[in-house]
Amino acid sequence: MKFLRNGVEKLRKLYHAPGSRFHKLWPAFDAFETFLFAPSHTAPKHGPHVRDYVDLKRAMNTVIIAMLPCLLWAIWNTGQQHFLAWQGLVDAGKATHDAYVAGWLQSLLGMDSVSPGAPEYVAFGLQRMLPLLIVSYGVGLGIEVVFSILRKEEVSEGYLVSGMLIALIVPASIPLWQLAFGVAFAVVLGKEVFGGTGMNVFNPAMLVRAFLFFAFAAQMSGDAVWVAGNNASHLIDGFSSPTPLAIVKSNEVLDATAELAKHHSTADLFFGNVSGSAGEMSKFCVLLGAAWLLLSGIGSWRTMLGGVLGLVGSAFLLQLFLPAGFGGPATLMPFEHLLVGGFLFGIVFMATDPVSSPETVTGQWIYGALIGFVTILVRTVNPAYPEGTMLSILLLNAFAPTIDHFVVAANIRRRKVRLERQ
Amino acid sequence: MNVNSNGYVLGFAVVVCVAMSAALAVTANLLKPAQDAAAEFDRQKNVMAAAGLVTEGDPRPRPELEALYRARVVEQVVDVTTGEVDAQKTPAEVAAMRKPEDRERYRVVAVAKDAQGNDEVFVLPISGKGLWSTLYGYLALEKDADTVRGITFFKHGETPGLGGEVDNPEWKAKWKGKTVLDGGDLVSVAVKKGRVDPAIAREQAHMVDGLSGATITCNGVTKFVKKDLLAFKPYLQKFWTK
Amino acid sequence: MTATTAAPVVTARPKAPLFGKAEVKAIKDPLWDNNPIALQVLGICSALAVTTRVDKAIVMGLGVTLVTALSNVMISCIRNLIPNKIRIIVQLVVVSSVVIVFDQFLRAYMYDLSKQLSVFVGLIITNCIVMGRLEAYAMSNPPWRSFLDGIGNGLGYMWILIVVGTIREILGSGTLLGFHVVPQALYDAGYVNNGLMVLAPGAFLLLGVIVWVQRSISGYSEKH
Repeated sequence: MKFLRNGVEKLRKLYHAPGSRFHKLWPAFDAFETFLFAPSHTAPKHGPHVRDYVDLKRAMNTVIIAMLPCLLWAIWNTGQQHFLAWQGLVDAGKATHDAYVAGWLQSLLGMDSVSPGAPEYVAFGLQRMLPLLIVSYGVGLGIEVVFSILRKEEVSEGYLVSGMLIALIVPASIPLWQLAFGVAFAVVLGKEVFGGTGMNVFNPAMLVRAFLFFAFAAQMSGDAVWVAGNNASHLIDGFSSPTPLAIVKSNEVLDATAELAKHHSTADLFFGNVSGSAGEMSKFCVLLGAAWLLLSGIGSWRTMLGGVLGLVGSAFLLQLFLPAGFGGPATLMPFEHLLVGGFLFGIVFMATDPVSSPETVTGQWIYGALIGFVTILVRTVNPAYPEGTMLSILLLNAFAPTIDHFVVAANIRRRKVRLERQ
Repeated sequence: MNVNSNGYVLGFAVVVCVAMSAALAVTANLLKPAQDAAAEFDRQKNVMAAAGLVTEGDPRPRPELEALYRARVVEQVVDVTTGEVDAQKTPAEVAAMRKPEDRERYRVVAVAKDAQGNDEVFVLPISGKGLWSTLYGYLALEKDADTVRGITFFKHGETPGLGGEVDNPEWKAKWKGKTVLDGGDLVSVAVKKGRVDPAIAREQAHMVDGLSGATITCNGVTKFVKKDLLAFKPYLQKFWTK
Repeated sequence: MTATTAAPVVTARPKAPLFGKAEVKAIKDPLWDNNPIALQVLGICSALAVTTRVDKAIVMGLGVTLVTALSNVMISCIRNLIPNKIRIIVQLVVVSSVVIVFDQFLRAYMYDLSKQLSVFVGLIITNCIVMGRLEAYAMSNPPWRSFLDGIGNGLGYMWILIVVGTIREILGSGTLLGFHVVPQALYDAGYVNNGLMVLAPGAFLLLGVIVWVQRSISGYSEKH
């Protein structure tokens, strides 16, 4: 380690002092240095004077660790779903193993589609997920570095989490140019125009998804996009598989629980043996991440619990007042709403984003509960969109400061009354 | 003169209103014939596009297109309860009908003739709910009143990229050649969820590929195409036997 | 008072130049420094609604330009006759008459566009730019200058609409003025049109970007 440190120190001279050769690139240098070493800041003349090794970078790294189970499952399941789909087509006589076209990593490793196992799953998963991660980080961090240099500020770490989140909440089949477009949009218009890390109103990763959802609807919704393949649009020709929420979306489904059970067992839904956006399928992995976030104290348990209660509670209340003949997702058992779709992932990893969620303790409860409520509304009442997590989190992001405002105002009023009584 | 006295205010208001309404009345009256002609021409273009006589945005000048319409297209008012052509009523009268039951009953069919004056294409108006909006369009059938010549939508408000793809020429082209009759039964043409299986003959004949991500729009199209075809059944029947 | 001083001194009033300083300012200011959309943020509603295609944006821009200029002239001509109490109503009557006439002409001679612009032509009446210019300018300036002011504001509105419309049409539909500009080869390579640009939020985002760019060039900043 020592020699690495010394090497960095030597390089630092080239960047740090004003007027030195690469001073313009100092923010970029600083970003890499603090990524490798905990910064040895001492208290400056003016505040803040309380410092902790858990700075932004450590906090972000903790969240990334929390997302690792989901990422690993995304790699595994992208491969698993791909080969299951292919085998299904072969069994139905619509495809042959001879006609299978391997992707770049598969060709490199000399793999085919006959009796695929763990190595094939992982290879295919990496083949799709690595490019997504590279594009997401490359474009996003590139824009952040450029803006930091223009602003003469340090590059901040905010994007480390966003970059991975983005790769996990889009279908693995998303064309890379669309992903790059979406990332550029969200980082510039969702974050940099507001002043960069810590100033954004909306969760940047969710903005990427929203942008892609409305801009390239055909690649982000429908039944065909959820299983990745190797053809020109990264799909499997002639294969489509609706997500669990899409299965029960039709108003003609009068018993959604039974309809869902025809396709997926509860265990499959929980452990994530289903198709969907790359990282949100396995509720088990999400819960592992949630446990890590709560243990490390990084994520707000109030937001998470509020969200879960809000979702299940609204689904329960909705069923009490359900008009006769109203079918679709409203007829799911309330807790099943947690097992389908991306709500759990959203409330654990995205709603808890400290920048775009309320600061006050009471506010976090309200915020979480409302996210659950709006999600249920979109899932059950909206005729077109099967899932409402994205829209509800973005909507509540916009309301987070308002929630804080009223919580603080109520607190002031309460204490004023108490003071006057004394 | 006191411009703020009540009398002046009143007088001024009257003068301004009278002057402006006179000006408006004159322009509206002068332009009325041109407006009606423009609206009529627009409708004619849609009908001819559905019948395949012109392409959308045909570059030919207006008089030429109007002449083409006069030469090739005959519009008839059909009483769908009997299937008979009601020669007493004009399409313009039908368009002006306000009562829902009248609008259900009297519908305008445009018949495109070939060069010899024989029936070539029947253009039926279709409309119904999609996801967000009501879609309006035409379904064109060949002279056997069975084979689809084409479909167009001239007004809708569906999601661009999903339901809005009903305007996609490639998708519309998939309707051509489908048949609405199956062994004498009117089965209409349905939009399938997913792709049509080429191995199944009935699917090949009576179904078109679905638009991905637009299930509700597609179901709507299936539903109202069938509904309108059934409504026209008494009229179409006469041509099936031939 | 004596009779000698009462002798009137007749001097010919200097003929005002056709394009004096005030006239040039009236037409140039709203194009950039005091742009109705980018600076005053007026007329946003129609700017979102009619910019999915450039031809719609152009016709709408022309409509607003004509309406603003003509009603400016008319109000300016009678500005000394209008009783203060009913001036807003009088302005509205004049504006709506001009708008209706424009709408009638569109229906007669540009039916396709009129169908697509639908209610938004009629809604020019409620466009804040028109009423704003009448109140702020035409009520206190002579007709010729008011006319130029109307033209300037209309054009200031129009060029922003055209920029938004161009970007939206190219990205959203792959066409420009109805002609395909995105080559088929690109579509074959997997490119797809951007659906967000066809929706109103896309226009909202673009307008935001244009305001951002315009203000950072012109150096305008809101007072806090």
